[in-house]
Amino acid sequence: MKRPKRLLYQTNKGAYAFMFIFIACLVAYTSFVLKSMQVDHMISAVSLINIVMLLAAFLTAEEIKVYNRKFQFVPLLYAAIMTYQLLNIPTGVAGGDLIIAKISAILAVVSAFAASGLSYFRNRIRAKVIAENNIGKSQLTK
Amino acid sequence: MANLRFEHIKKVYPNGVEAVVDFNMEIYDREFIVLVGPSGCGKSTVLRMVAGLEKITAGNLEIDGVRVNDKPPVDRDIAMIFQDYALYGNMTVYENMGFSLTVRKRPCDEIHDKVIAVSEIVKLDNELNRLPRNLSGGQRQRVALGRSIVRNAKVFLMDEPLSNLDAKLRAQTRREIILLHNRIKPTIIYVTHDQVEAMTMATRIVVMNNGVIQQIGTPYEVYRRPANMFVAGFIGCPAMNFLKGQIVEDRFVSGAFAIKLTPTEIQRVSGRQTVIIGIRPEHLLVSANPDVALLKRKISGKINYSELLGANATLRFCLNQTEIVAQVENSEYRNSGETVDLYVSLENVHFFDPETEALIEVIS
Repeated sequence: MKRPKRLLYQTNKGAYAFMFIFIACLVAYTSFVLKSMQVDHMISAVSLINIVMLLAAFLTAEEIKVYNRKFQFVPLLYAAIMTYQLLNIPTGVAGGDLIIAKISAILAVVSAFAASGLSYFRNRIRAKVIAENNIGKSQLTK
Repeated sequence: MANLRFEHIKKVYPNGVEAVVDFNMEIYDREFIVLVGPSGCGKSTVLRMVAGLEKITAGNLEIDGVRVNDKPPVDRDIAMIFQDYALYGNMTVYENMGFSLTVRKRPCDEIHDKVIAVSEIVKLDNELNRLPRNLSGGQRQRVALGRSIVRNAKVFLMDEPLSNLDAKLRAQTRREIILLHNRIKPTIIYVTHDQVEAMTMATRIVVMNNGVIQQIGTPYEVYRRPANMFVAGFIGCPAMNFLKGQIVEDRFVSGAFAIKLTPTEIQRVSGRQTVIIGIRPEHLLVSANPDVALLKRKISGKINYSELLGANATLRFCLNQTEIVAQVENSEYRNSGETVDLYVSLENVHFFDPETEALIEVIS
C-alpha cells in the first residue's frame, strides 16, 4: 500500500464491497433454494436462517467498513454457515436451480473469506500506522 | 485560475424584477474581487450567474475567453462557498473535502494526498475524522473552503461566507481567507454586505446598488474618492456626513454653519450655487488650541448621543436638522448634553452635485 496513512481517514471500501457481494449471493441462494423446496417444516427454517444471516451480514459490513477489529473474523462464521448450506442443499432443489444455488453459495463463501482477509490485512496496517504516529483515540473519533 | 469578462450582463426575473442592469467589468487572474452593496442590490445574483445557478437574460459572460452563458454549472470549473457551508452532515471532514474528487472517481491515493495537503493549509489536519456537527462555525467554513481548494477550480465564488459567524470568529476567518489568497492566489469573487470585509479583503471593490455598478476601484480609491453619494455613504463606518448648502463667495454656508474654502476647493465648485459636502466622521477633529485657519472651519453642537467604543468614541449632534456623527479618540469622549467644538479637515471634504449626487471632481 502506497499511502498507509489514508486508512486513518478512508473507510474499508474493499471489505465492505465483498460483504455486499456476500449478501447478494445469499439472496440469490435463498430465493433459488426456496423456489424448488418441498413445502414442509424445513422451508421455514431455511427462510429464517437466511433472513437472520442477511441482517447480520449487513451489520457486520457496517462495522467492517469503519475498521472494527472485533468484527474482522465474523465473515468466516458466515462462510462456515454457507459451506454447511452448500453441502446440505435441501431435497427437491434440482436442475438449473441447484446449479445457481451452488454457484451462489460458493461465491458467498469466497466473498466472506475475502472480506475477512481484507479486513484483517487493513486493520493490521492501520494499527501499525496508529502506533507509529502515536495517534490518539480523539483524532480517530467522529 | 482565470480571467472573467462581464459584457452588458442583465438579469430579469420572470416576475419582471430587474436584478442586474448592464453589468460590465473584467476580473483578472488572481484578483480578489468583493461585490458589496445593500441587501437586494443584485450582488448575489451576479455570483449565481457566474456559477450557472441563474440564467443570464442578456449579455456575455466569458471565463478565460470562452463564453459560458449556456454552459451548465458542472462544466464551468467553479467552486462556490455558501453562507450556510453546505457540508454533508453524514461525512467526516476528510470525506467532505475529498468528495469532489471521489465523485470524479480519482484514485484513493491522489484524493488522500490532496486532502492532506489542503487540510494543512486550512489548519484542519487534526480534525479530519470529525463530523461537521462537532466543529465550530469557523472550522466548518474552513472545511467548505478546503473542499473548494481541493477541486483546484478556476474561480472561487463566496456568498457571504462569514455571515453566520460571531464577530471574533468572523475577524479570524477573514484573516485566514486573506492569508489563503496570498498563499495560493486564486481568483475570488466574494459577496458581502459588510463594508469592513470589503475594505480589508479586496484587491478591487465593486459597489452595487439597485442592480447597477456604482463604482469599481481599490479599497483606497473607493474610500478616498467615492464616485457618488451612495458609495460615500455606504463605505466607511460610521457613514459619511452630508450637508447641503450654498457657495457664497469663498465660503460654504449651510444655515448657521459656514466654512472657508481653499482656492482649490473654490475652483472645484466654481459655477455652482448649491452643493452637498461630505465629511467623514473621522475627519471632524477636536483641537485644544485651534489656530485661525481651524477656527474658520468650526462646527459646534450639543451632543444628543455618544458611544464609547474602546479606542474611539462617536459623538452625534444635530446641525440644521441633520445628524452629524464625529469619530474622536476616547480621550475626547463627551457625555450627552455637553457641547462640543469640532473642526473640519478640509483636505478630506468631498463635494457632490445635489442633482446627480455624483462627486465633483478636482479640475486639473
